[in-house]
Amino acid sequence: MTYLKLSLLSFSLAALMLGCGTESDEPPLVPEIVSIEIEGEANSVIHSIVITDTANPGLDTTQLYATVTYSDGSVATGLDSQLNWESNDTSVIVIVNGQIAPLANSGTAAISASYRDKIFTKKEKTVTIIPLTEVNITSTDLAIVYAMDKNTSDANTSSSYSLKANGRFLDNNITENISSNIRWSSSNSTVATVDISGFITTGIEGNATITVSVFDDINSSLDLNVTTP
Amino acid sequence: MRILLVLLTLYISLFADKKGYVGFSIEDSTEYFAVGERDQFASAPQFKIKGGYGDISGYAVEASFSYMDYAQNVFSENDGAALMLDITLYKGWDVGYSLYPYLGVGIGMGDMKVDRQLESSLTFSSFNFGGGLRYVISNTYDFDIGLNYKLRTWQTISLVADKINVTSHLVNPYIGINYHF
Repeated sequence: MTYLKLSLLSFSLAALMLGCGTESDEPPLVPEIVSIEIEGEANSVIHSIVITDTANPGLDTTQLYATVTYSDGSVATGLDSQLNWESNDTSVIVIVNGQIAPLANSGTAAISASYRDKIFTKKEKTVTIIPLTEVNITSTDLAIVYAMDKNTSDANTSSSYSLKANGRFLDNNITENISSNIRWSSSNSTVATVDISGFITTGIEGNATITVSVFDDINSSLDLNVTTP
Repeated sequence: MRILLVLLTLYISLFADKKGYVGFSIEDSTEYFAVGERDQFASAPQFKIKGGYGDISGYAVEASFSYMDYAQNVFSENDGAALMLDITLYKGWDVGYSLYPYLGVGIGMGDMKVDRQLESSLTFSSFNFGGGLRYVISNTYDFDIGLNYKLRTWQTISLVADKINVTSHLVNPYIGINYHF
């Protein structure tokens, strides 16, 4: 009988304790994500020297970023590395390291940003690809004579010179010093060698043809006449 | 009087022979959360069922399973209930008059339903200690009243651009009944 009374007492106290709780209208203590929006221009004009190499973006790339808004009113921007970016049409846009990598096709694709497989936001993006039409060798060290059939320049033995590759695009836009997706070569390494940056080191007297190629499709050459000063 | 003392000794000795017990308790807790410069108290009633083995006047190990539902939203606009499992080691003493004060220390873990963009539930772990008093009602039942203190560490919450680590501590008084066998 005694324990029955104590049981009833415990239930009464419990009911009293449970009755103390009241629902609160306060917002949650921990901020919540309200939205994530893809920022930046809706449309991009990309001067591209890329034809198929999606792993190595070309000249103009568009960095993607997003803004996240929280329930406490604060915002955070950037987020390019935290989010997973996807394009629904990879013939128009592929996204490499948070950047739109230009492809050969102009068009419109939907870009989405997701995190932990939850897609937060999508945005239509129209990309216009303007292809490279020609490349020209320039130098501030060498006096290059430009001609329709070939470009020529004189150089001294045992010297160093720097070359650059300038690109011209279909819209006549000229971009100086293309450095990606190009290859430099020399026809005669005893006369002159050239490294991947277009830096020439001359050797003995003679002639060498320096060539710069963009995906083997677009190239330009310079006939170098090396003499002893 | 002598007969009463004999009977009291008899049923306490019978009680002492019973190593196992099950019980339940009803608890209330006030938990203090701090996130950055904001803090919040959240109250939550709890219901606990438990089972243990050991001596009421010595050492005992207890496993308990609790249900808790905060009165305030802490993690989302639609926080759900939390379920938790605690393992506690108790040390009790016989101070006479059928009273057995005790102290306990233990660990716990749990899971709470939330309605967040990136999380549907949050796990937590806790370090617990507390004490109480058991009053032996009969040779099979005791009445239990006490107070627990818990330090909780919650699962890291992602905000995409940031991560939030939440810790909390709570005090919960409780009352309950145990059945010994």
